[in-house]
Amino acid sequence: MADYKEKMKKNRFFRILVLAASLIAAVSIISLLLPLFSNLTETILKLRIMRISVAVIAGCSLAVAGVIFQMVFSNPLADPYLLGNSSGAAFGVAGLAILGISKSGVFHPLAAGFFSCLTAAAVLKIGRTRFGRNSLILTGVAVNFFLSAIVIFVVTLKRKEAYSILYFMMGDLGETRTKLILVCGIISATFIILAFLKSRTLNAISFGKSLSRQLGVQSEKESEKLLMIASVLTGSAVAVGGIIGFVGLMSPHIARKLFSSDARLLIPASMGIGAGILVFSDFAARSILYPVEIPVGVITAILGAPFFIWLYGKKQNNRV
Amino acid sequence: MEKNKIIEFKNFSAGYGKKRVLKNITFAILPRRIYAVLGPNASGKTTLLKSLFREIPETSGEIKIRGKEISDLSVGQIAKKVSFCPAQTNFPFDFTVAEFVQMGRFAVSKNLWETNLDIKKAKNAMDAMGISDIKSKKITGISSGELQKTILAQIISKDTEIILLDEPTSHLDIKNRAELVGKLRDLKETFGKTIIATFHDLTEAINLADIFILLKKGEIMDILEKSQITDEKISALYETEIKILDENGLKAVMAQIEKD
Repeated sequence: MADYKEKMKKNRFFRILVLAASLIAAVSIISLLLPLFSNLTETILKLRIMRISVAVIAGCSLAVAGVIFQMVFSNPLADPYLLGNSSGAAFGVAGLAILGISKSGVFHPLAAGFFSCLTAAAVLKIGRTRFGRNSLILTGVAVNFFLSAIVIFVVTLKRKEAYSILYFMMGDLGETRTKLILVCGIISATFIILAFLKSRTLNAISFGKSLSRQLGVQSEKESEKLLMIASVLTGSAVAVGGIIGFVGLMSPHIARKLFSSDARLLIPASMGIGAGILVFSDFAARSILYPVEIPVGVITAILGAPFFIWLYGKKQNNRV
Repeated sequence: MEKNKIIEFKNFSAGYGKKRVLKNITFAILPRRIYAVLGPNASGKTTLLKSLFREIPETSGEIKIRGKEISDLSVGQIAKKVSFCPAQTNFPFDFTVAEFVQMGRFAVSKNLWETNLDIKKAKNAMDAMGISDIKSKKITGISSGELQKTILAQIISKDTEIILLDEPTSHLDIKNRAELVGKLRDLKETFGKTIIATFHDLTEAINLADIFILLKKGEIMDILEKSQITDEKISALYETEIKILDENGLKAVMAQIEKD
């Protein structure tokens, strides 16, 4: 009986993995083969495959970062965008672009990851010392505005780059530098695996300091490691696709409702949903005002902001 | 005294920043007994429990668990010997009761997936606490009585020798309290556990515990066996006139209400 249950549990994991993979594949293929407004030439097909790779990398990374932030802070409202991490990462990328370093973009994820980690540390420090845990999101939002302003300020100094970087501030899946996509893909895959291997630690940490200690987890130390993983993932997502908000908020929540709160199932399920949301949003962003393309972050924000308000209301009533 | 002390506090002080909450405490805990830590608000009861998990930032002196100094043990090693139920826990995510109970096994085995033994222990723990029928419910949607039993089941699934409980009965109604007191006694008698619990409700404490640690302003005022507890000692601890009533061995503790 116990043996059977264990098998069921593992099966559930593989079912979710298969489901996640097929969800990504299905949405990708539909998006690929829908030559709605154009003839499907080889160049277009190649561009679309790149677009989808970018969407899948960014979607999976943001979703897993969201899972980690939410569980480490015991707060279902946490998200790499709201916590200011994405802007920190964008600051890194914008800095490189302005300085004219790394035209191939290979160093973008490193700079993005580094500044994303710094931002996480700063938000944590300010939030803890000044307001306590509950105001973390507010601190993050403030830091987010601050860093966005700095990025825009820096960008205005060098007008030529302005358009592409401003676009980058609302999400841009049109990346065509193969090397950059590849590097981000490898970084994301590595850190998602690291996060997955820490699933049970993450489960324990979500219950706060005292309970996680009695589960044998030294929460302060482990939280730092996990936040670093989440920051690097955010950095990778931003380097490849710009700032895309709310994917990290929505995906884990939907995955939790559909599957489980257990990080071992939540991580693969969120990945599938995160990638799905982005591929879908991108499709919408390119179709709604065709031939004009809307930044994909506009679509995710239109979906995500009401979602946040709804979730916040539920949290106030303790029903999340 | 017996030689097999399970926990020893020696000149132990603890505090937060400049504030010292526990002052120079020395005492020992013996196995297979239920200890009640009593004292007014802010006397250091919770700090005493949390000290065992090295959760208090400033400490001096020593604590030994089975002869081993806790500063030499990792949190993971301590968790294999000691379990702790905090007075208040946040449950921001809707894990199921079974998932939550199984999590206790993470303290013991670090595999990515639970082994058959882990699943069996968790199942036995749920049976022991009588929560098997709610095992697929979400922990966010059960009553506080059920929640308390779920946390205890997690602790039982860990199967540690020492169990620390911070105000285990405070959110429960009288029926659930009686049930919990019975379960705790069972843990000691059937499973041979050592329990250290803080209490606000003295009636529960006095009916359940074998030994009483009276804590006042961070210092140990007295350590008493059940038979040594008197009205005077309890009254002195709380600086209020308190009476212990006895109905065929079942005791009730009442405070004298001041008249003007």
